[in-house]
Amino acid sequence: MFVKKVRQRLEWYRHAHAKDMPIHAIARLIQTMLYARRFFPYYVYNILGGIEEDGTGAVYSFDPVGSYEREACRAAGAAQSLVQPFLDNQIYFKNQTPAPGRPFPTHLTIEHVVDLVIDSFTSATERHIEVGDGLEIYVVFSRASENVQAITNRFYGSIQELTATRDGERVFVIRQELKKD
Amino acid sequence: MASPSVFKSPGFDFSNQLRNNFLAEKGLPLPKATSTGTTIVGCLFKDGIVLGADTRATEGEIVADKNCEKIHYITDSIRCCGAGTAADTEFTTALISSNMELHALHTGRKPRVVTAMTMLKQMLFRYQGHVGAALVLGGVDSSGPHLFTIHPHGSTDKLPYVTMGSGSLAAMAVFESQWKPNMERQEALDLVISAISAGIFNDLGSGSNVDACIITANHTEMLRNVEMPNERVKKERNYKFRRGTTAWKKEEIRKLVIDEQVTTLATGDEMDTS
Repeated sequence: MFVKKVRQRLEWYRHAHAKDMPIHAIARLIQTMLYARRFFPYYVYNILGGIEEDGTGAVYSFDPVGSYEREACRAAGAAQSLVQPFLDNQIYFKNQTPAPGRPFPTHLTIEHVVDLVIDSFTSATERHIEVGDGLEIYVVFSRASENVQAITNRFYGSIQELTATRDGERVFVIRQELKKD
Repeated sequence: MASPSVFKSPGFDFSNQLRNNFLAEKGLPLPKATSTGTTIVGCLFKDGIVLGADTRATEGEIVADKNCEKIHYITDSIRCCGAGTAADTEFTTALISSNMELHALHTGRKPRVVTAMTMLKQMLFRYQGHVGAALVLGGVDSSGPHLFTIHPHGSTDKLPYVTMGSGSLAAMAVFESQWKPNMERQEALDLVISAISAGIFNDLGSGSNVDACIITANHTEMLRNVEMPNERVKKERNYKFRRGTTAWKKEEIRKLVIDEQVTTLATGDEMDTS
C-alpha cells in the first residue's frame, strides 16, 4: 500500500516536472511521507535502491517514521540480525585486517555482490524459520555500465529484463529457489 | 535460599522463583527454552509400529539444531518421539527408560508399552503440565503392538495413528487421507515419511530431515535420516580467511616447560606387557 502511494507521487512528479525523480529526491519524499504519519505510522521498513544522478549506485534505508541514511549496504527484516553482520564483514571488511600491501577494494564487482546476496539468503534460510521458499534479486545498472553481459551470461535462464529499451538504465530480476522447509 | 548444606533434595528447585517474578515485572522476560517445534507421528501396520519425526530444534524463530534426534529409546522394543520443550522430553524419556529397565529386572518379564505409558502419564500429571513434553509412545510387547499419545498435562489416547507437535495438522491431513489398517512395512514407512514431509514443508517449526523407527515383534530398526530432502546447496563463494585476518594487539608467549631431563631406562623403549 505504501509503495503504491510512492509510485503515485513519482507519476505526479513526472507530469509536473517533465523528468524522472532523482533517487536522493525520492528518499527525501519517502521521509516526508512517513513522518506525516508520525502518530499512526506505516508499519514498514523501507530500503530504496537505484542509480543516482551522477551514475553511482545508491541504497537508502528508512525506519517506520522516516529516519533515513544513504549506505553501501543494509539488511532488514526477520533475519536482519543474522545477515547485517555478515554484510558488515564482507562489504565494509569490518573486523578484518587487510594483507600487508594489498588493501581492501572500495568497489566490488557485480558477480561478487550477487554471490554475497545469494549466500546471505541461503544462510538466513538455514537458521531462521521465517526465511525461505524463494528469492528475487533486482539488479539496476547505470546508463554506461559494461557489466550487464557478465550477469546475463552467469544467470542465463533465471534472469529476466524489466526495462524495455537497451539505452538508459537497465533493471533485471534474478529468481532463485530457497529451501522450503 | 542459598544454604550451606551440600545435600540437594530431588526434584525441581524453585529458589529462583522470587527473583524471576521480580525481573519479569521489571521487563526482563524469561529466556526462551529450546522447543522442538516439531512434527512427530506414529502409525500401526500389519507387523508392528512405525514412528517418525523431523529433526529441527528451534529457539523462538531461530533454528538451534538442524539435525537433532527426537526418537528416544525406552527399551529395545519400545521407542518414544518427543515434542515440546527439548530438555523436558530428553529427561522424561531417559528417566522412564531407566525405570523400565529396573522394572523389567524386578518382574523378570519383558517390559510392556502400557507400563511406560502409565509411568509417563503419572509423572506428567504430577507436574500439572509444567513439564512441557508431548509424546508419541509406540512399541511391541508380549500382548502385541501398541501406540499411545501423551499430552503435557498427562492425558493419553490409544490410537492406530497419531501425530503431535506444531506440524501435527499437516501430518494428520496426510494420515487421514491415506491410512488403512494392515498396511505392509514399506507402505507404512512411505506413509510416515510423507506425513513428516508434509510437516517439514508446511510448518515453520519443523524442518530438515526425516527420522523413522520400525518396531516389530522380533526386531527394532532405527532409520536415522531416512530422507534428507533439505541438503544445503553449495555456497557461491569460499569464505576462508587468510591467516592473520584477525588483528591482535599484544603477543605474550610463555614457556611452560622450565627444565626437561630425559632419562632412558635400562630395559629399553618397549612397553612391559608381562
